[in-house]
Amino acid sequence: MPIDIKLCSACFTVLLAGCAIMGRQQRENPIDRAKVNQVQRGMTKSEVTDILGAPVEIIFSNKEHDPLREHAYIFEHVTTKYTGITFGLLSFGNVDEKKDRVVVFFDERGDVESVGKTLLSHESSYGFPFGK
Amino acid sequence: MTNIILRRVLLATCLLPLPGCRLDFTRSQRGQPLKFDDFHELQPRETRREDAVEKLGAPDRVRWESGKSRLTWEHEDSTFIQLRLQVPFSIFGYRHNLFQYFEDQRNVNAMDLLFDESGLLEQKTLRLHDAYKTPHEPGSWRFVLTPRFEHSFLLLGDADFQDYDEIFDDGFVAGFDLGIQPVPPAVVKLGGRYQIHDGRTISAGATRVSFDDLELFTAEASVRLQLPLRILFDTEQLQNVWTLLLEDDPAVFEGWLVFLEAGLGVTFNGNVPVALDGVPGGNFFDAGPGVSSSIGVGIEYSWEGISVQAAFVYRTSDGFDEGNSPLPSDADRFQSFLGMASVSLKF
Repeated sequence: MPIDIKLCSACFTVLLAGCAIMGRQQRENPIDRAKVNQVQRGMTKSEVTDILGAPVEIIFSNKEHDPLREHAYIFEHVTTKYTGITFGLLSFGNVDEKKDRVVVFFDERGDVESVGKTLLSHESSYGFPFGK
Repeated sequence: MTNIILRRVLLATCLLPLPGCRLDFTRSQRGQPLKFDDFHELQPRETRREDAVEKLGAPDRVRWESGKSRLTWEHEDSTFIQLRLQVPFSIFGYRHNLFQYFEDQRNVNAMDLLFDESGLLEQKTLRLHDAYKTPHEPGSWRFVLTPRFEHSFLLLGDADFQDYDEIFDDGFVAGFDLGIQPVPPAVVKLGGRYQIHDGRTISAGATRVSFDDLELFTAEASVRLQLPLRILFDTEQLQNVWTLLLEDDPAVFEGWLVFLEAGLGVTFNGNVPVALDGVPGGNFFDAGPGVSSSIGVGIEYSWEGISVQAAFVYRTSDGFDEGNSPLPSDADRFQSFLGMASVSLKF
């Protein structure tokens, strides 16, 4: 009979020994939604950078006659949330990365032609690796 | 004494690898799910770049190609599953892998739009991970290796002197199955089991009767049928059960499954000595073989190369041979209900 108690204790010790790890990583500066909405078609590049600051990346035209024309400015802020949960022999990990990303396209004259925006970094979440 | 040593060796053998055994599930999602409805509304030669980014949001990549701009939206959904058997102790933080198996699946969905110099949509393309799946080869068989553990929570049957549950405690079963899966809905298996129930001490009048442990060694052949669990919740799919049983694409049988398995085998029981007021009184049961069978029903979650299962199992074996003790032991069938957990590796 004592062997059963030892067995149960050993099983519980092994199976219940666990831990949880949670972490959040943020890259680049946060993007203010209100400021993004201030960027309007027809604005100049300097007006855009006055509002949003320096872009993270600049896309250049590769046209033969105008290879250094700035075609688009990219602004980005990335939030990644990490979840790690261990139950004895099983461990579950989840990584959820969401971005705030704004791409401002310029026309031939260098004025704003259009603004593409995806502001979803706040939707990054902790969780198990199941479901959608 | 021999039984106790054997039992301790078995327990140590079972428990020793556990601290070094790890099963890891990791999922990684990057980006936002793509807006396919908006994508389908885009019309080549009609949609302008500003309308596209208005609907789809900021692209993840912007490239210039000979005066044309290519915008790409991407969503990555990756799954990493790993089984590791390691040495159960570490040496300065290093643990040696005895066995490691992993599946790393990176699914990327992408929308690609090409605009001409005037900013008019010239070409639109979808890249979906399903298109990159390895083509299934019909007729390929798979092997399934399943270590399993069962805990008995109910014993039934008359052992003549008393019912089985009066003279034995609840026990456990440890074993494994090696199966062949000719088609995804069916698995044919051969397996071995070790079942043990501790003997109890009971009072019979003024006499204290102590039973030794009951040990069963079983070799079993079994068949298992499985179906995707979703058919139970979808009346339209219920009509397709027969179609599913003929299905030969393993990918259809990934996710949640419900299964039914039945087995037939031979069980050898060990001697069960009995002591009367502490004095050896011979064998209550003699060692010998008998026919056994089992049936189980459960659920499984299956990935491409691995699956986990939980089930309820009913096991029964022939009544054991009468021993030479003075107690009556013309036993009926030995029956047990068990909860089962297991992990299967498919290769």
